[in-house]
Amino acid sequence: MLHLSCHTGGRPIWSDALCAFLADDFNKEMQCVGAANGQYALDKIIEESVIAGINAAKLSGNENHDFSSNVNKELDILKPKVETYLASKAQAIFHIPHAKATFMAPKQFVDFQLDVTAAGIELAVAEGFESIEHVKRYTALGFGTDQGKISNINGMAIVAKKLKQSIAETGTTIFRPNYTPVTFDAIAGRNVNSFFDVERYTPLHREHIKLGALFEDVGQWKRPWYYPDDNETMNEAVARECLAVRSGVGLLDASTLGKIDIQGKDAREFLNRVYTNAWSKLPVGRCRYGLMCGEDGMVFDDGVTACLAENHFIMTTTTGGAAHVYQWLEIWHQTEWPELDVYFTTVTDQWATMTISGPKARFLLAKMTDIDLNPESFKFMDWREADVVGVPSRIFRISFTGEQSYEINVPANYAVVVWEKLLEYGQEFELTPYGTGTMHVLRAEKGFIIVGQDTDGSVTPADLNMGWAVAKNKPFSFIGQRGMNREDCLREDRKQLVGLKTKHPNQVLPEGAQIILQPNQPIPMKMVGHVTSSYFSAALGHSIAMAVVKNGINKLGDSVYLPLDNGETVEANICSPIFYDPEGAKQNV
Amino acid sequence: MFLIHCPICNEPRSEDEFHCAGEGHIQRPLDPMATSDKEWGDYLFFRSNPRGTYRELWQHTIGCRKYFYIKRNTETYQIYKTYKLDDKSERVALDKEHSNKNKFGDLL
Amino acid sequence: MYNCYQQTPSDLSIKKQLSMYHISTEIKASNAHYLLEEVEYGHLNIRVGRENRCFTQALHDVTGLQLPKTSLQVVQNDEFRLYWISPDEFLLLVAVGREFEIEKKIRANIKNTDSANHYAILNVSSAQAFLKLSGSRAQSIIKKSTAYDIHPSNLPVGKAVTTTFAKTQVILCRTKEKDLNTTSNSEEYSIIVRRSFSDYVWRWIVDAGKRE
Ligand SMILES: [Zn+2]
Repeated sequence: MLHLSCHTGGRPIWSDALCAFLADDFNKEMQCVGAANGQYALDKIIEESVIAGINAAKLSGNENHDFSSNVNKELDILKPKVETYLASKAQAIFHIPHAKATFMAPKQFVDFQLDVTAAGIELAVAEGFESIEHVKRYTALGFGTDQGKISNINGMAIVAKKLKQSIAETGTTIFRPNYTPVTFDAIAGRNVNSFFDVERYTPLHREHIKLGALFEDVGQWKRPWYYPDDNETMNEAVARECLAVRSGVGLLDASTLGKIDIQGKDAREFLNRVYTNAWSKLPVGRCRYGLMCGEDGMVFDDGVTACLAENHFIMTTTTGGAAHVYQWLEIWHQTEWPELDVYFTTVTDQWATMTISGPKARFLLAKMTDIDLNPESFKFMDWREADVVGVPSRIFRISFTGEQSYEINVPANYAVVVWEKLLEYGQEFELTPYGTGTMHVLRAEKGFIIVGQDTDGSVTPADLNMGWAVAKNKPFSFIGQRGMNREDCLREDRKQLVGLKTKHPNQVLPEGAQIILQPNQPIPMKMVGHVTSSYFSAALGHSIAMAVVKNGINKLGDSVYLPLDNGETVEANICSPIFYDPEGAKQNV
Repeated sequence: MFLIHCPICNEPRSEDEFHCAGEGHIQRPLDPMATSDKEWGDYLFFRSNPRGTYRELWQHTIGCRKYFYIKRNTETYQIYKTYKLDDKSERVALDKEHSNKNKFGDLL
Repeated sequence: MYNCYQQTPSDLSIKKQLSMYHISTEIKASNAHYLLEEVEYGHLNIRVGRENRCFTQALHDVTGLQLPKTSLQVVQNDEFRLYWISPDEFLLLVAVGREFEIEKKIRANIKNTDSANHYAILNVSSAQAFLKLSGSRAQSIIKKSTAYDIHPSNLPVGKAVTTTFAKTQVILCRTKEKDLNTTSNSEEYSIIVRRSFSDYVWRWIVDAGKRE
């Protein structure tokens, strides 16, 4: 009971008469009766209980009984007759007296669980620990599984005696939950094994299993990682999948991307405020890439948003950022700009997204739909409504690989049939399913960032050399604009995103490796940045890496050094992070 | 676990349905670009963090998804009241507390 | 103004896969103590302020339903069921396959075509799964899964709450009260869950259904 009172913030009060601690009246809504209140006589206990019961009934508001104002009268009615008897006053022996000093006398154990003795407690006091909290930590008094229920009062009394003060002055330590030991089993409950965390599946999960995919955890999602052929290692499978996309056509399940439907006449204005770039002129049928920053000017999400109709947009977010972005839009709308007419709805689960990417993507898509795929009319960054093998879909011509690429969005209920047909028609083009492993390499070859991998919450659009994605003349000060113009964000020597090419083309740098300018300096070395992404590019035949380096954008061509944990120091050259098709020609064809 | 009364759903709900979004009644400068680095820093980074009465912005995340305010005691966890965003009474009370603090300085 | 899109194939031979397709095409799980089913509906998410008379009139013209008067309320008739989700969000369930027709009808019935007329309708039939749980163990399964007080005095038929369910969230409803004439506990609940979480909720219930 004393514990419960402590849990609400109360401090126990010592009663000399009872030789016990009692709850204080910190919590005005708490009533103690009976032994909990230091009351041991039966008739008194009943009396207190009746009064407390009346009070509780009144406070609860569920008062059916018309209580008289005279509590004694109530007691006469409600209280049963019991025999009263006299109990003698409690007497305490906290510390057995002995002719010798405690440390000379036979051992007196106080805490039976942790073998704390009376002599040990006296020693703590002699060492200068006067606060009971300090004595507890010095001696381990009350640290056992009983949490001092057996020993604490005796221990405190010994401290009080030694300090020549009362137990009330000495006080007690604070009781915290739990009152009795609770097993981990009880806490875990059924949240074990496959229920330990939620596993989210895309509508195509079963198809991936059929193709022998290995899965990667991305947030709570299970995403296909790579699809190994017999005996293939991960590196071999990823290299094969990468080459297939660059030379033919690949298929990726991108359903996990966050999708938010935005409707309302002020949708554009809202986008202008939450994205760093401008949205006023995006025509119906077109898509645009956008960066989202916090008020501090740091990038926290990115994605492509499409204009579906004049007042209707669909925003995509990173897989991991979907919930946060949705909450972000809501908090700004509800708390700062409720006057803007706009509604947001999560539609991540509504649409299954199948991306076909590679120079043969259009040939494959042409087998699946009748719409005009002529690149003159269905251009890069366009989207179209289409019937794909009989399933109504929205096709976005956007690219995370740098290749000709179509993201086919269909209602999740009809995703499987489209996937099956893609595999069927794709045979002719050696369509290769690829997973997140390959997706990461392909995007890095193009220097496309992954928020949370190449950024860490301290990176502005300028640091990413993405000033082109920041509008200079938007009338409303968009979120992040003021932050990215703080003095510190304008420094020239901030860490900036660059590419790294190792001197030995086969050396793949470890992600997280630190970068230095002079290889022969004493430890601690002056670190100027680190590797954020690093892969072997099968298409280019050498390793590639993205890194953030102080003032890196102005250091293109310079040599840097990376001391590795095996003692080796690797030399690399700073280069543009766009390793493949720097003109961006391939995604437009 | 304790219960929080959602003023929108209008019933008490388990604490784990809610998400705290930090101190409430923080005014975003109307023209951010016109603020000094200090003013902007104050808005962005500095919070009052009192011992005692505190007004916070919360969201009924697993529920109606609306934001609302909680006036509570940081020492005892007692919730005095929960109120909707358009309830201006606490805003008025808060302004009064601030002006008193400015007037009397350390006396309070 | 809005992209209102027919999302179901006109070719009826194209098979639909509900959220639990990868576990079973039967979409049922049961033992002597419980029955769990996935039920097909058309789901339309509606965003509108109660003060938008023009929209609520159109909604009424098409469905015969008024917006729920109080929070957490569900209103329904023979054809439609309308859930209060938040003060400006409602979920309209329609017979499977009718979602596009109903969406078009509501939009067509809105007299005020000014772009300032603020509302949103969205077909989310693929985005969420409707699960039905019944049987003598239904009540204890739900009790073990949510902190929400499901006593009939707090969760009567006609009320829907978005709340926690194991480690995820669902819209929970009591759809049938205990039949006083039978000794068996014949309560029935509906659980609306986001599609990608339905596997977790499904397996959780199946696991719970095996336990005493
Ligand atoms: Zn609520």
